[in-house]
Amino acid sequence: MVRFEKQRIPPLAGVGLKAQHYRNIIDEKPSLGWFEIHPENYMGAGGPPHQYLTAIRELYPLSLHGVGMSLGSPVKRLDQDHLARFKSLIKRYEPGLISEHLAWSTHEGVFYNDLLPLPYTDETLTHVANHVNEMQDYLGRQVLIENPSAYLSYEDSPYAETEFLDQLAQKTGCGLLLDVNNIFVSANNQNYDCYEYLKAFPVQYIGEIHLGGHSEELVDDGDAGIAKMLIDDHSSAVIEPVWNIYKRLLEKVGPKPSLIEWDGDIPDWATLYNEAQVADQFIAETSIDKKVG
Amino acid sequence: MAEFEKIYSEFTHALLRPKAALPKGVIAPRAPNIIKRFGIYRNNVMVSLIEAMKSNFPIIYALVGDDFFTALAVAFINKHPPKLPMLFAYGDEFAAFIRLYSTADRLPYLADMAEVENLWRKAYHAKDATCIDISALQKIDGEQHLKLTFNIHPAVFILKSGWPIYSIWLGHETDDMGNVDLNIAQNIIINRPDVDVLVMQLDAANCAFFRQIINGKNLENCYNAAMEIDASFDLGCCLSQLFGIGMITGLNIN
Repeated sequence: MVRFEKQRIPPLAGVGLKAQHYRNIIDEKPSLGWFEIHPENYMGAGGPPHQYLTAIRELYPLSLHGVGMSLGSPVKRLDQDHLARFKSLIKRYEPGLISEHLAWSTHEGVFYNDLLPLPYTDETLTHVANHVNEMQDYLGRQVLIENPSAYLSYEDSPYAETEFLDQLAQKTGCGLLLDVNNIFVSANNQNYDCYEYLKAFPVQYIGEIHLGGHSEELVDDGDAGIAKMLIDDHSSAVIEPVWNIYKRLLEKVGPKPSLIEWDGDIPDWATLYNEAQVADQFIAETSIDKKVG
Repeated sequence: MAEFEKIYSEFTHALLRPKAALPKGVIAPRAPNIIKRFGIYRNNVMVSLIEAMKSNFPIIYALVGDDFFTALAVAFINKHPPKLPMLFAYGDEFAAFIRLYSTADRLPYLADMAEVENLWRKAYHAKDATCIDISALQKIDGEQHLKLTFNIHPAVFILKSGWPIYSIWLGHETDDMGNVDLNIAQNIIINRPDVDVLVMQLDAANCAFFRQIINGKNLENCYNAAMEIDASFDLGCCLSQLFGIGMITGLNIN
């Protein structure tokens, strides 16, 4: 049933692994490219999370997608304990890809459990680059950095996000993880055009793509009217405009590992698997287009 | 200090305080209502941490209901925000916090139940280990038995309580909270020999015995501790339970 070599993540759809689906996956062994986990959920010493993950890892390639490294923090060095925990998971599970976020989540000793935005300045670029270097050096692996979803930005933020990520990749040798839903969410919330963002994105560094759902919230802007805010909550299916951006992206970069993220209101396995098959269909069509072209 | 460090301090100060002034320098292009937009971050942080507390303390949640739990969790999160990016480990101080939380008085067993749930999660995530069975004991010369000490599985925890913590736990598990007699005191042992976490009731003598075992005392001391409480304590029965529930990972002849 293992269609690919053990470690490498194939340029196909994968799914964010949820405890609710452990048994489905182990029992049904569905045909799927790979799984991704948040390593923070597997940083306990033992128990069922590791027992299930070990069984699933024997069947599929695995990607580690960190949410707690706080690469955007102003600290001099990253949390050494957290790096050590991360590294021991790499040793244990030999993931094919490792990724983190362009964001911060811990400040002055408190973990806020959200991916908070940073200003894009020369100063933050230096800091984030140092942290990415430290993370890659410590883990001995390349890390992919993901574009955030944002609800606000900063007055003093001279770099465009795409330019910031480009510089970061050049300075550190990191790759990039492009979250298509995040483009859609941020573009709506900050009044820019998704396709302009995509045009400016340094696609040559993309090692992985994320797809997910979001929700809507109305905000009363007084005289300026009612604004629609998009919340990146990964609690629903991918919507058509996001699939459309994904399709355009695939045309630019060809097949890439593409993850379905569904973290809230988690559906049954069949529904989630179906989402992955939609992505695989887009990937298959891209390959055919390339061959024809 | 880095320029943005100051911004982050203002940002985080405002995150957990709904009425605090917004950090300087945050903007939303062509969008006047910045407070609402910042509120999305406030909401993400607080709601996700309340959800983490619900997930870590399902019995407390069931006992007190959504409104009370949310108020309790918000107060707790403000006093003890998480320090580590691993939320399965969040809430160690919750039991102690509940003891001091004035309106929790009417449910005096709540703090002990929070402790039960803390230990349950520790057992769930504890290091895996292989248990030995009672035949290991039979291989050792009988005269040496009283000097034996035991290596305990890392997922074993004992809790003594003045409240019926076992009955409350069982009532939650079986969805039947109707018949809990609040006038009795119970002790429990929690263990995870393999995949499933087990919760069992311990009488006072067995509880004293198991506590001494966990503290690394030899069998003679453990036996004496149990006999002090109950002269009819049955060592053979207790030992088969000790091995039978997968608590022991090794023996030491001293």
